[in-house]
Amino acid sequence: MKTGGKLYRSFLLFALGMATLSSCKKEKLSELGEIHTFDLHSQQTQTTYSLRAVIPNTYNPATPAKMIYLLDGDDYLREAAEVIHKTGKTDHIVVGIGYKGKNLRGRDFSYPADPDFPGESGGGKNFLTCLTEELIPNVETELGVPVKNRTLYGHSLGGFFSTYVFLQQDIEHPFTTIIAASPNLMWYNAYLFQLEEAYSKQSGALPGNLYMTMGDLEGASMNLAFGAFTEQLFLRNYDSLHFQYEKLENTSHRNSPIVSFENGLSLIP
Amino acid sequence: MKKFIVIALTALFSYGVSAQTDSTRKSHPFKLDFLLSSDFINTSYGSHFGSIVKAKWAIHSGQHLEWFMGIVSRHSYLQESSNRFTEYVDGFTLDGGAYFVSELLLYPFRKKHFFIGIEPYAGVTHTFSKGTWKTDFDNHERTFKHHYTYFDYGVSQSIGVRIRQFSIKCEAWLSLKGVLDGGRFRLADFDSRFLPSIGFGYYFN
Repeated sequence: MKTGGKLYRSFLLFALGMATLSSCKKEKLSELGEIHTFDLHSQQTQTTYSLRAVIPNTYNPATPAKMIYLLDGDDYLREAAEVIHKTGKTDHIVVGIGYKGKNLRGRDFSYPADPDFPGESGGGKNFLTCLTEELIPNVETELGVPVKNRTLYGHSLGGFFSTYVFLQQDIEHPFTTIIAASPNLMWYNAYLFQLEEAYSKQSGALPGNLYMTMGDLEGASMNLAFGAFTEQLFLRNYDSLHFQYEKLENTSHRNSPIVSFENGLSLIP
Repeated sequence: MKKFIVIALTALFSYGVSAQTDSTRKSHPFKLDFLLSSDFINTSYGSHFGSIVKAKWAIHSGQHLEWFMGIVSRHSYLQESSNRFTEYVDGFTLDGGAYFVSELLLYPFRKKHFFIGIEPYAGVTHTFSKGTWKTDFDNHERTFKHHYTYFDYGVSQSIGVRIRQFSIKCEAWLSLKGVLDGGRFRLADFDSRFLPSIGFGYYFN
């Protein structure tokens, strides 16, 4: 009986420990800045996006803002806003792009369509049009701030999309900086390698800033594709390209998004 | 809060050791579990399968509760050549480790058949990735090799049925590494595994 009592007490202690895991104190977004929340229904993708912008409390409205558009905003906005707050960047406004309903990142962040991918895919070009013609103009009109430059951040398939935006030539994009964290460069049998190859035959210049990362704990395939792609891009030696890439030590796929975001901020002019 | 979790986990281990002196009935002092596991969340990286072997000694065996302490060996293999995106990769990731565990089994009903269990673990995991990259548009072959060893901890939760000396159970292996290491909480990552598994146990007299 004495043993049983101790058992129950230890069990309860452990159960309590597990329960408090899910109630860790998280910094509220409102403490990190002024929050603007709105929904946008895109005619291009026929999808409603949930957008949240965090303007630092210390932001001076007369100063042109550095806009950072964050893919997978539903997942990363709070952590990204914490980084902006922590690093004291008063003129950086982070805009998290999420979904009002079902998450359609597989469709929006991929191009071309891959029949082997479960679910819809290949909508990257549509989503880029949505970004440039609908989402960004609406966000910036809503916020009413002068804009200095724009950055696109994406992780994993979002990292693929960000890199795709940088290399494609079909749609003019407004981004001066791309942060591609742990990009899935294998998509559609390494499509981006061929896109880059095609670009290099047309131009010796690739204006902009590109920062790419990969964690060394992301497995062989992600690391191999990353090594091959960054080497290919580096050897091309494009004019006007400020290219940095980084292997993150002891870092796994879901541990790389915010480290990459923070490191990538240094490339924003 | 993090300290509190560490204390809670430590309490389970330390209590189990001390409780050996006042244990009650030990009808089956030793048991072996064998489980097959798979990572169903990261299937895009390739097919994943593994095994878990556990040897445990009874500390306490009551009407509704059983307590075991033991050691575990876990291994898993991710065949990255079969990844969903490209045929240019030939590679794999292996990971495995050895752990100390403390298992609590609760038999909620009068007949000691159906059980639920919770089993904190702590130990060392080693992960090893290796592969080559070769495309049809570039003949230059690239290789990748990486080792990483780390302190790993977490909890397994199980549900099952016991029939005499045999048990059949489903289990979820959950590494909590991301909780305490200053990184993000990253369920089902390469260094923070979530492994559903199924298997059986045998109680030795």
